[in-house]
Amino acid sequence: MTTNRQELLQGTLDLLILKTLSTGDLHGWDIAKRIAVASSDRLTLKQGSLYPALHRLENRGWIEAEWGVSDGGRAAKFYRLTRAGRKQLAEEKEYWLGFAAAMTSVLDLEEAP
Amino acid sequence: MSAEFLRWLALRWRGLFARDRHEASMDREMQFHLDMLVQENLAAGMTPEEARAAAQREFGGAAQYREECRDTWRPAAVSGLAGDFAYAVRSLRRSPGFTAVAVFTLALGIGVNVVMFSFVRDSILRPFLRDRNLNLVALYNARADTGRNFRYFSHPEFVALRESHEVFADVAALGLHVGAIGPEHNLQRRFIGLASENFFSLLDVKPAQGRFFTAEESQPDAAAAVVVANHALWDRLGRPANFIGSTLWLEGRPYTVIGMTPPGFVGLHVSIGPDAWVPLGIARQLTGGADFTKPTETRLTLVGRLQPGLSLASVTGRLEAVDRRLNALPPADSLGARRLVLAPPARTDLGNVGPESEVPLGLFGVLALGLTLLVLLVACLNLANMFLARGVARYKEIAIRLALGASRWRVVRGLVAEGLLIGLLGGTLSVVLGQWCSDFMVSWSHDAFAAGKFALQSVPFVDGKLIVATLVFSLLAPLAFSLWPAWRITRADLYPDLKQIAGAPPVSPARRGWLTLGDVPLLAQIALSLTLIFSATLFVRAARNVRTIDLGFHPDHQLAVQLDYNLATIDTAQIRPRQQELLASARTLPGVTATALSSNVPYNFDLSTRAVRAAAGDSTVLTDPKNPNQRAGYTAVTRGYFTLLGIELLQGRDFTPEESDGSSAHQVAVIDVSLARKLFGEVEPVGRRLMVNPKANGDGTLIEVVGIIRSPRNDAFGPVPLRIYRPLGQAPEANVYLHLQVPEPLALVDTLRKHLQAVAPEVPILLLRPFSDFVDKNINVLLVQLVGVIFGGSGGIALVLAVVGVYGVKAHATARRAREIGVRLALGARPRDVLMLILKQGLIQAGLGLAAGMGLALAAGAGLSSMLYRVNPFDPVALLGCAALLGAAVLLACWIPARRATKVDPLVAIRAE
Repeated sequence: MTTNRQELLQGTLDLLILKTLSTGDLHGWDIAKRIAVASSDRLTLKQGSLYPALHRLENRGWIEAEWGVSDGGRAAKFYRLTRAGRKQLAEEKEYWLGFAAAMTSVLDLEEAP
Repeated sequence: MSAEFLRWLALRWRGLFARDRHEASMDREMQFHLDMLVQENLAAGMTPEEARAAAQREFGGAAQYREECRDTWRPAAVSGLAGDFAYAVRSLRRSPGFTAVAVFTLALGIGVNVVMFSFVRDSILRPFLRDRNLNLVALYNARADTGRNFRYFSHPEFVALRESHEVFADVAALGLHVGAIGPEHNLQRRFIGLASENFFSLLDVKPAQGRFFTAEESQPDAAAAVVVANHALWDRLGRPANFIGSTLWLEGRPYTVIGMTPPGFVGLHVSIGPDAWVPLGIARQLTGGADFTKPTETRLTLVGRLQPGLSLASVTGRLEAVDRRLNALPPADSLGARRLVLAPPARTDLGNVGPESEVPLGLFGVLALGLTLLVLLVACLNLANMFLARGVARYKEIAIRLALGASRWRVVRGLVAEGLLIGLLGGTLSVVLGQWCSDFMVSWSHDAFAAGKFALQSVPFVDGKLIVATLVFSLLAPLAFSLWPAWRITRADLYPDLKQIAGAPPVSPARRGWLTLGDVPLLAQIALSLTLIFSATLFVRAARNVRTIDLGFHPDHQLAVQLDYNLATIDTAQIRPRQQELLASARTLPGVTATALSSNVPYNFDLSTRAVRAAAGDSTVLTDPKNPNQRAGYTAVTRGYFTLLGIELLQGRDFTPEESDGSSAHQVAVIDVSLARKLFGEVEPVGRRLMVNPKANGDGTLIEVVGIIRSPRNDAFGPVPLRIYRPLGQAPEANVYLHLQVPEPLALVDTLRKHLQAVAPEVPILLLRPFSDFVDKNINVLLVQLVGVIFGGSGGIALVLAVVGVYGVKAHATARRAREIGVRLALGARPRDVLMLILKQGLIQAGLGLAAGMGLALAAGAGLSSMLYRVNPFDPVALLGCAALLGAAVLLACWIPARRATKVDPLVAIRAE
């Protein structure tokens, strides 16, 4: 196991998926690849865990799915961001960035010598 | 909101019902991902095994992810109503046996109500003329001074009323005539309606085919030979094509069919009516020449439509003017002035002469529906017991749900959802059962009526409205049987804490004595079941009585043929000799041991009556000088008739051959013993003389009584009639029945038909059937039997339900006590003691339930007494018999689980803790 890989924080997988899908319609395999590429492979993610998350997001109406054909010519299930999903992404992104900024400013406090 | 809601609904739907498809889609999706991983690993140079293993590592636990996916489609954490139902579906699917019994129980309970309701609605309630806003009234003709003594209307009265406009917008007339009708060689005696041309328009009926009468055709003596057929007649004839314009034969003459009534229309009454209608103008021809326009010919039933804005209540003041018109006409008889009485159109009888009380019919309807509702109540109680038992068996599941934070309301809702599902399934099944029963009854009654004289409305009685009502009802019923048990089994004090749970609940603190509140449904069920079974017994006995009643004659091993010589083109003088020839030739047929002719047969609703008076000086009875006549049923017969029918000759003799064929001029009669007593008192009646239809001044032909018989019954209902028999030769009749005694009646039918066509080809055969059919297929006999079947069926259902219900409750209760029983057995109790313990409790409950039930049953018997045919409604033997039967069934239902409980291994039972 690579030591510099980070465990995902609770609740961040949804945000990652929504963000990834904002770049276009993708199937699960693509999503996993893109997250790996974008994070330079620094996030630990059992790829199967994408699927419960995808189904949960679909259930909430943030993404919708359709069967299509993959680049390799095989049938694959493509997910697309819905309007509600886009809104949700904006909200979560704002929350996350705000949270991260707050965390950063607290962690950046001068430490006593 | 709505788009979101629809998506939510679609997901729920998918979650509930499209699971398999959804599952496949998920598998394919994940497989694709795995395949891609494997491919990538292969490209990186791994061996196939390594590649697969690495891919699985990378992907993670597929089984777990699958389950997590499934969780997301499940109704979100079983929340909301859809969640309750999804939970209920799963729960019911887990116990198919319970579900099947519950659904079937409810289907029986509701189904019997569907059938009874539609039966009562169609035979009693359905007010064909009342449910349409036509402002129709029935007109009755009473004596002015009494307001009673009704008679029918004469044609001049009809015309006068039709022309009056004080009260009526229009008045239509209907006369009824029983005559031979059919295609040329297939005649039957049926009711024929004589209608004024406005009859159909007044009732707002449109022809299904062709047209109705014109005013010209309806004019007196118009003599247009046209006929409007009832839809049911067309059905009975096999729905011939080109029916309009074809020829029907009525009373020996051809009529052109000009139209047909719509299905379900039978005229003024409910369910039964005439086969066909002819215009009033043809009446004289059809009914044998009597001038029906004479004021003394009173045979019309009138129905009118009130002027717009008037109602039955508001016309009373205006009727006087109408009465004056009526009384300005030449009088029909010497009884004085008439008075018009108006009433709502009658519901049942054909051509009521006066307004009839509807109380008996209403009573029948209320009782019949009451009893079937009782069946439903028993079914619901039964279901309540089953739900209670099941709920307690699911104790652990419920306790866990409560412990995990589900509110009591939530759990109750889930349990009631199960009840609603059962209700929906049961309701649907009951409609199917009801439809099946309805089809059966329609075909049965058509068979019964085909031999009768009426047309039967042929409308199926389970219709759309009834189906909707049933389904609504089947959703209401579960609230009754599942809400209360659900509330009881979720009581908080039953669930002190989770640790204690071991699959069975602790004995509830309330269960100390022999009886608790929880026993009430069981006791009520036993009591109501007894009531139902007892009522059923009474009706079944009535059905048996109507078969076994003393008829006063023996209808077996006989054939009867109805031949109407009026319908043949034979010289009147030839009729008697021809009949005599027929009688003689029929005697020569193979197997025939005796023959006779008669002018009517018992159980055929065609007994005509005559006024009979004792000759002056021959009687010791003081007669009322104003009304010295007796009315007696009159039959003309040939010699041998009494012996052939098995009518008991008490005194004197049968007619001699000379009297029978008319060659003896000495007028004779045979009368029944009751008439003899009424006419002559206690003196020897044989040899005394009487008069038939004497003139008003007391003159008439003197007839000598030569024999006394015991009168045969003429109908299942009513008293045995007074009777007088005359020799056919001395009192000729053209319409006769030929009776043949033969060991195998059915075997002779074809031979006889051929024989008749050879001997009397010009005389139409109106009817040819085993004589016993007159009794067995008599409509009153059939009705009593039908009621017996309906109520007997309800009682049988109640008995089955009682056993199932008691068994369910007892089986469950003893299962709950398994630990206690185990302890008892471990401490040395003998199995027999344990058995007695449980049986004793069952016995006490059964006893209490039966005691309450006997009171209820007697009350029900009192209510039913007027509907029972010759049955004592308080019959103690029947009551005790029913109680014993039910008691035995209840004890058996207790004994089986009790016996099972004693087989418990004490160690197993205690260790279950």
